Amino acid sequence: MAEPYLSIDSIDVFYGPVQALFGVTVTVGRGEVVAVLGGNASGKSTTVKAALGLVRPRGGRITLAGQRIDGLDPHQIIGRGVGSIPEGRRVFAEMSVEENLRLGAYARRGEPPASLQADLQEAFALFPRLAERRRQAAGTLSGGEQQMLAMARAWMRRPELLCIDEPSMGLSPLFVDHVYEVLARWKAAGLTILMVEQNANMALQLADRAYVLRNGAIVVQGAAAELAGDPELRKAYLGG
Amino acid sequence: MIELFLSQLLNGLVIGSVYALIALGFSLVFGVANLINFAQGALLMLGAFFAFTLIQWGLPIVVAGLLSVLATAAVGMLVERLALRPLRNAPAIAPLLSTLAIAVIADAGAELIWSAESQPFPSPLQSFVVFVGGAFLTGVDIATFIVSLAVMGGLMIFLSRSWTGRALRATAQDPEAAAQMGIDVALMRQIAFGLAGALGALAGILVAMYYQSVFPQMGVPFGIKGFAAALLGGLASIPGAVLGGFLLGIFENLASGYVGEGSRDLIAYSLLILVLMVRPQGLLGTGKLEALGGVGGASGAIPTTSIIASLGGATARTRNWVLRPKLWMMLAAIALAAVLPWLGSAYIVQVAAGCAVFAMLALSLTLLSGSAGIISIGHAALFGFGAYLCAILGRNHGWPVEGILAAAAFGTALMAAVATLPAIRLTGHAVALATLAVGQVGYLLFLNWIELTRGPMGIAGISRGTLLGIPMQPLDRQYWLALLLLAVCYVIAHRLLESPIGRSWRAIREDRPAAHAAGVPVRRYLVLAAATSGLIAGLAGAQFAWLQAFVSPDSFVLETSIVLISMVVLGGMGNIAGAVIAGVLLAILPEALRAFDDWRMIVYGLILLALLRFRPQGLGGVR
Repeated sequence: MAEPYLSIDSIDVFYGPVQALFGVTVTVGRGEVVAVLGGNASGKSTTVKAALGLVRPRGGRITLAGQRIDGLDPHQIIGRGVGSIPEGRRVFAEMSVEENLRLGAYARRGEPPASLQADLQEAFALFPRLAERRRQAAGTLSGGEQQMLAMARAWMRRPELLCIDEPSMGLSPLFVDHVYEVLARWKAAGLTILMVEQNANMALQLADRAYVLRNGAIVVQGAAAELAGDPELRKAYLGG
Repeated sequence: MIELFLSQLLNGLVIGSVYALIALGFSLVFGVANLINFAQGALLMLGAFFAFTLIQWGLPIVVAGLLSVLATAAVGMLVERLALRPLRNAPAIAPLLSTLAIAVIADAGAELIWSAESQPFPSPLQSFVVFVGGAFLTGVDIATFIVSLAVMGGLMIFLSRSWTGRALRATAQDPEAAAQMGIDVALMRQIAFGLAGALGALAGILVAMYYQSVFPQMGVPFGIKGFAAALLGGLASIPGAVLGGFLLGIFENLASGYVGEGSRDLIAYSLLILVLMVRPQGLLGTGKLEALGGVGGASGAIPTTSIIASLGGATARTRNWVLRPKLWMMLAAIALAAVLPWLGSAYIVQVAAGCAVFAMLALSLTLLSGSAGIISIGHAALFGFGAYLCAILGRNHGWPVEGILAAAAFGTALMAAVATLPAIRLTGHAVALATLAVGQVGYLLFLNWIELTRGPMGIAGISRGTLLGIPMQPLDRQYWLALLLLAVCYVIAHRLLESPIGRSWRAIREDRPAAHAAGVPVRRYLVLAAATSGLIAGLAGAQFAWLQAFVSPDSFVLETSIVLISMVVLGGMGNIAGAVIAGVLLAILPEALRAFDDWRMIVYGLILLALLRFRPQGLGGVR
């Protein structure tokens, strides 16, 4: 197997004296969609935060396209072609929809304005709701619309690798379906995705492979289709 | 009549544009770094002095101004490096107190380098005058107004159009999300401080031209007023800062025109207190201040003033060690204190009595700021209130010593409870600001209420009278009284802290919403903490008045408040034994450094800075 695009190699992460991850290893190949699943406090968000540089692993290593990225700051990692849809959306509430999208392209600020402008139009075409509200403050959007904005904002990065933390959290079923439709389209276009998700059924329909975390350690991994019926997955969520 | 109005209005617009510049500096730093930068006034002062020196070297004023703006921007970035970056994981209160320490060092440093006296600042446009109706504007006024407006406009365009400007605003709204857009958040903080330095320097040069003078103490009033302006408009709001600046300038000038020049600062500070009480989010404010704990209540992420809370993740080695004095230590301390009068040196007794006064003050402040978490930078006003009560009642009204002691204790307790009211709804950094304003109002009243306080001349010839039939004239007896009062206050404070009252104070400090939810009547307990603190401070003030036989406003300036909060931090917040030790140590320090008196405040500033960096829990540990 070729070198994976993102390789998280047996990392340990601590919050103060509390250890959150125990030797977690996750790999994502180019063009692959990988889901990290688990119940509350299983360490799944911490895994993606470590990949983004938001938390620093104390042990292990993380490489992106063969180069070490653990110890880098988030902006440096984003600068290497990574995009992020943060947990809880985190749109810039007091800025307009359009300004939020422009900030999504912050890492591309060296590129000619014309190509950014073209991407902005494309983002609006992808999410027509946002086009209607381009001048509106992002904080006034509904939760579902904010999730769309967070996705469009990450898309403006034109990332090689997209990290997503809980895309379905707090959304109505209709919006969850919409989110996954867009993600499926991006997958079909060849985007590499590392996603963290509590909603295992939805995630396993989209993902190629998945890892299941429990108490900060991986308990089972494999192809998404096989995992769907695995009793370990059920145990990871329900305990016991 | 209309001429006066018009001329005050125009003056208000001019000085208001300067306030707006300072306010913008505050707002940028507050928004991006979540920090009230107490060094903003010092940056203004440094900017004015840099330009002053460059002009003396023969540079034209415009070149000197530009160079000074660049240099002060660099100093601003240095402040970020010293006060903020190393303290990212420190208690939330540490960066705030660090900027205060830097301001103290800068002010004292400027006195050393450029002398404490006011020096003339060249103002080439002053002779150029334009008449507007019945009022007139000088060239400096016009230049100030135009330059300020141009800079504000440029800043607005920068913030809304440029990549860096948008990144700054994004960082202000959500630093973690900004980082995930690829924004270097640490760099943005540094840029915000640099901009604050540049704006401060520009404002400083304009102020120096306006008043045609520079002096090291100019930073404090303009810093506070810039802050008042920022708060009036809404602390995190950029348009709010501009609006607040103009409003404050106009209001203050109308007040000085119609009420009198002496009321100018008093009215500005009172306005600040009023805004904090009535509408802490400001005119154009958003919920941002709320998130920082500007407004009380269960709004979620209120930064605690607790130092223990931030030690939560510490390893066992650095975990909080608390000094709990044993009985033999207390007896040894008392024995040591009792021996001093027999050494036969009046100087030693005088110094020791002064130490007892400051130990009481540190004790009183550690109850309020350490145990109850109301960080006060205005405690000197309560100290002064007690001292002036003693002086006025004793000297002018012939009260007996017993009556004076009771009046100083309970009068100051009442005053403290009232003066703390504006701060009680607030938490976190906004409290420090409210108490600073209250402290300045106190100082200005001592200074300007001449019929009562004799103003800057002070009240001399305060006699010590007789206590329970014992003449208190000999210094030794006064010393014994100070020691006795210190011991009594210590025991009271100790009892309180060990009781459910002390537990409630600490609960409020650690997590106010949780304390509220657990049924603790927060407001009542905080008023009680303030009153207890005021009672002890008032007794200390009376002691001070008797010991010096003289009181004047000079003893109750902002520096005194800063020394007192340094004592509290040094002793370990809320640790009364630590506070007493720190009070004695920092009261002896100026005696030890008598030969280097100019360096005294610098040393205090450095001690505070080093403590916050390396040992935020102080010498005695936090209780």
